[in-house]
Amino acid sequence: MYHKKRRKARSKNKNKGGRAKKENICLKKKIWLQKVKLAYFDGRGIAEPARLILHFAKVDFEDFRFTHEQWPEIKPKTKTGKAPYLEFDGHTLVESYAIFRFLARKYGLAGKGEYEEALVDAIADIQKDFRTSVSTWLYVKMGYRPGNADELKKPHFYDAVETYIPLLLNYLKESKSGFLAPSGLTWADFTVSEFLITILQEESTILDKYPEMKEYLKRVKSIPELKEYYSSRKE
Amino acid sequence: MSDVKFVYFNVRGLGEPARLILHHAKVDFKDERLTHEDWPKLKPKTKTGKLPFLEYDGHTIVESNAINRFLARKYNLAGKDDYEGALIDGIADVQKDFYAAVAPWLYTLLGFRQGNPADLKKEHLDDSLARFLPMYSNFLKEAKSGFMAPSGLSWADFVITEFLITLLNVEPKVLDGHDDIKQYLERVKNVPQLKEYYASRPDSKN
Repeated sequence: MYHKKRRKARSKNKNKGGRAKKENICLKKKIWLQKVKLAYFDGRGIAEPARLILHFAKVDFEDFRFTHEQWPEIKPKTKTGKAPYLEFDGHTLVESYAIFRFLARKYGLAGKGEYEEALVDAIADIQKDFRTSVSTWLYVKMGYRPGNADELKKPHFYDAVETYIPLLLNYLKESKSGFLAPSGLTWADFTVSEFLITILQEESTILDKYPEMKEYLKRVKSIPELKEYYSSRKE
Repeated sequence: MSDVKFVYFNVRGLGEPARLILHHAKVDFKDERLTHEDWPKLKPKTKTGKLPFLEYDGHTIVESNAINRFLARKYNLAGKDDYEGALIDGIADVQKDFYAAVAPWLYTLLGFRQGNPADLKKEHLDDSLARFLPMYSNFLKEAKSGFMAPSGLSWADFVITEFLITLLNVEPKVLDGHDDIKQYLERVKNVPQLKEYYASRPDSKN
């Protein structure tokens, strides 16, 4: 009789503990699944817009920054041998602009409606072309590629600035929002502003001919949701 | 719907994927093809001085991949959800890098730029093929659908295959040793909704 009672009591406890344990596992899985991790080198580089989107949206994410020494070990484990990559809810995403667009769509920074989304995509692609042109000079200057940096500076830096800044200014003028898209801040503002910071670091007077562009950069860096992040990050 | 107009040069180039999306969806659109003589007149009237551009329901969209993505989302070629959409975007960006890596050789070969293609071939064609074709094989393997995305045909398949066709036009052996990619190319060209268009479309080297 005693043993029957004990067995019943044990099984009762088992159910209680079992149910709590199951809920616990579900909760842990949920937290793990909602996990957001951005992996990139320890610098702004090409990934900073993703960090900005996540900080803007106050997403609790792991900002995994690895060194150049660590990269050879991490590289073969990645999908395409490149960084950044994003882990989001159990999925892994690669390619910086695909990551930006994905996060922006999740957190309301992709533009309002399909036409504005296409506009933002186009501005970001123009920005990418701008960066590609300047990189032709900049990578040589930084020693990542062979070549004569001095010969490349005019066509790939100065001429690129003369070509692309006016295009971006046109978008600013047309949008009338103070940002690149009519509805306001979008991920294109982060790709553009981060690149403006980079070119200003190379030549602090490069935007002197374009005061509206300087004002625009100040405006992006003064966004209330990001003031704290901008002031604490290293540029 | 004749309020859809796609404007590009009379080549496949970077504009063909948009044409393929529209034909695949059987959209009634105006396929405006400009000559190099027409273009200087139109250029200052365009938003960014570049082609292609798309006029859709009174809106103008520029930049080839922005156009491709916009149309693909409209016509079910952008993946089944946000994750697949991002995968497809990523693959298309990889393709953009492949194109940019090969371009210095390709442009001199086609006469768009000065230079000796033979000098540029190893760094820009051979090394790029070695870098990018294995990535494409991997994407195909992971997708298991016969296309780049798990759920099937997407706009990424168009941007990739059009470039492969261009490479084969100028260098017929580029896919030798890459049977999976050769078969993939055939598979895309045999998509039922597009068989007629592929058979009848104006061809071009690039």
